[in-house]
Amino acid sequence: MIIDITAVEIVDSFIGRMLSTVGSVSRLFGAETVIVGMRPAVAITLTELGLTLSGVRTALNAEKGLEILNGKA
Amino acid sequence: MAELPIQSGDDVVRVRQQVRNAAADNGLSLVDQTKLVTAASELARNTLVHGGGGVARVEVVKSAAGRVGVKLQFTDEGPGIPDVDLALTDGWSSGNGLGLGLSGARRLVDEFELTSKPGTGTSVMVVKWSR
Repeated sequence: MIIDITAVEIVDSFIGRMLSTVGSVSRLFGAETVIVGMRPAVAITLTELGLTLSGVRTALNAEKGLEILNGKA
Repeated sequence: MAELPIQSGDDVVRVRQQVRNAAADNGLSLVDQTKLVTAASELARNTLVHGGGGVARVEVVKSAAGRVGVKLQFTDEGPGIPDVDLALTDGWSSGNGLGLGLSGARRLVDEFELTSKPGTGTSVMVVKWSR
């Protein structure tokens, strides 16, 4: 599964936890989750906030995300 | 200065928008805007969830050196925080959250002041200065 957050202006701990939960649940169904398109300012802020987004993988864009998923298939 | 109620999830969104506008209008960089809006989101949600609702004040301030900044104040009349040091510890949560909201918000801003009295409520003031 790919979640594209290109349009997302901020990720706080509430949204971060939601993304981690989606990743953890979909893993139980055998699916891998890749978050793609995170804006640089969002990435910098997430790091300082201390969020690690456990349970999901990340990729620069949708294309790179698909490469991760295809490589695993 | 704008005063905004925080009584619902929609109000949290409105606070975020107001803070974004104030930060952008006063010369904060995109990264600093994002940091301040994220901190505002954490603090507004704390006011709603832990404080049972309250108000947010958004204000443009000027330092003695002439720098412009955006000051936010979140006030509630909730149960208060019994142990402020503990509440500011990474990973500690009174609910089932990640325990990063308050401590993380502090890292995202330039100034941070938390006052809380059990039984009377909590007030958090933060400032982000333009560079």
